[in-house]
Amino acid sequence: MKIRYPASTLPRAQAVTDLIMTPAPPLERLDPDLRRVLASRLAALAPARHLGAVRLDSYTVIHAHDPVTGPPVSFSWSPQTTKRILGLASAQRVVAGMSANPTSAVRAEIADVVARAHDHPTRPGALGSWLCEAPFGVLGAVTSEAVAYATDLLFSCAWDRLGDDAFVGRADPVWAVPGAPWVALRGRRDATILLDAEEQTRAIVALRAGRPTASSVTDLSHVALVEGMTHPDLPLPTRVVGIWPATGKTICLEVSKEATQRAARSVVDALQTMRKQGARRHAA
Amino acid sequence: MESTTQSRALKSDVVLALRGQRSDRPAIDPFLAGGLRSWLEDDLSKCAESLSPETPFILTPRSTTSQALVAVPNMLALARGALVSVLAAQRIALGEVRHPMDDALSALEADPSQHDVVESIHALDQDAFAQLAAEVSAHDEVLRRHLSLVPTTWFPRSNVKLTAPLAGGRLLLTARVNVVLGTPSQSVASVCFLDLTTSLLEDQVLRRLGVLSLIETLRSGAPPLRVASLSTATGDVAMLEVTDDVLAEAVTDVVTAAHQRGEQS
Repeated sequence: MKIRYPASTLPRAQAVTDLIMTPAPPLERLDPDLRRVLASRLAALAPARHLGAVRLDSYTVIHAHDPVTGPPVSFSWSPQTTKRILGLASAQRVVAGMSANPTSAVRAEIADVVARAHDHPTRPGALGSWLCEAPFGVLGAVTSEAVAYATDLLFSCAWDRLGDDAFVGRADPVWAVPGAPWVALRGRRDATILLDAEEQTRAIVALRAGRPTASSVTDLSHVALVEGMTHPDLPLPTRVVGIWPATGKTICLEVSKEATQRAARSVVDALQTMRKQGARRHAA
Repeated sequence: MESTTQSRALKSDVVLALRGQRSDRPAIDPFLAGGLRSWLEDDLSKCAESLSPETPFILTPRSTTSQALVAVPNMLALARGALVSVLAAQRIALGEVRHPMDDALSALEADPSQHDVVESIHALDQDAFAQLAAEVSAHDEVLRRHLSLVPTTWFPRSNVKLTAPLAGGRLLLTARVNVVLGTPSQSVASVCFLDLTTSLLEDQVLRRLGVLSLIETLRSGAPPLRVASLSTATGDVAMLEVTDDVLAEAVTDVVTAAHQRGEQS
């Protein structure tokens, strides 16, 4: 497992960009055998469908073994749950030159989402519907959180150096398990940078809250695994760069076959634990 | 603290004062942050021996500069602080507040982590609620004076969390800053912090701001340009020019506090 760190020189964004763009030989595609084995294991371990959809992202995989305290909390929109969606879309606006700064980008993005919801009514649970009905104070909190997220992402790299090769804020890749599509792997990543258009090599940038921990490499490996599962025709990403803005730390995982194998094992272990917990909860 | 300025009479334009003139910004010593970190790591090594990264010892600027363990404020003070904090964020994000209490309360209601604070506000009787609403409006008037005209080109953001892990994550210096301005420092210092308090400015405010500056220096590799604390109760402002002396004093404060807290626990 090869881990690299940016030079500690200033400015940090340039050092992180240097790290992202370091040349490396293209990797192979995800091992088809690993893909088949993982699909088969996950389908066999899938909890019953009526227990609900299972979305295996880095967070759920890492925390699957934590003791369960209290009933599961259902999702609802809040400034915290909207910050990444709106922050990413706003950062994309700034990188594309459509907005001058994060604050104006977030305001424009929220106005667009609200306008779309007005013009094309969506389901009541959609973000647009929620924002349409949100009081002014809630819009303030939503804007504030999204601006902070977008600013963190924009300050993390020298986007002007990456130019058209940087793709910010595309939807997270999701791979539904064949035979048990209510179980899906999701790779939470914030940007993809094309390193070599011919070889299709790329680096992935993932912004994370808090500080790096012992499980951070598992987190980054999971992102690489999902990228491999959702793009079987492309080589594995060359590296996954995790950035923790709150602590100013950056960790770069150079992706390898071993990293994806380890990530696959973590996913299987996590689903096994979740299945047991689900069965226990159902029995209770 | 000789190298600091404190203006308790700065009644307006705290944001302008924070930013200052672009030509006056000091150059950054690229080795400063590494030196401060080494100093801290050396002096904290003994104290960190008994700690684990799974249960880190957390120090905030306030707990670092208070002699005694920081008392937990009563629920009403917490509620007032939370309400004023979201109003500051709203002023920075949207540039206006329509109905201070309504706007702030609706923002808190949308945040599941503020559930207890919201419950305590809704539990107030009519008179107490009206009094709190009047107080929040008065605090917001101070915010309006200082935060209404923050250009978006200064990259303002609110409620920014900063963390500097030390001793392999066994000791965490953490802070939450109400308002941050400026782009990351490259060759000159450019980031500014504004910390808000709904109470009076305490005697240790400059030392607290010094520790805040230290956390940012360790986190980003560059010290902030200036940091200030604004009391929304009185409109008083304490402002600190961040210098090497300020950061050195903050290192001493952190080491002393870590040893004291270590002995107490």
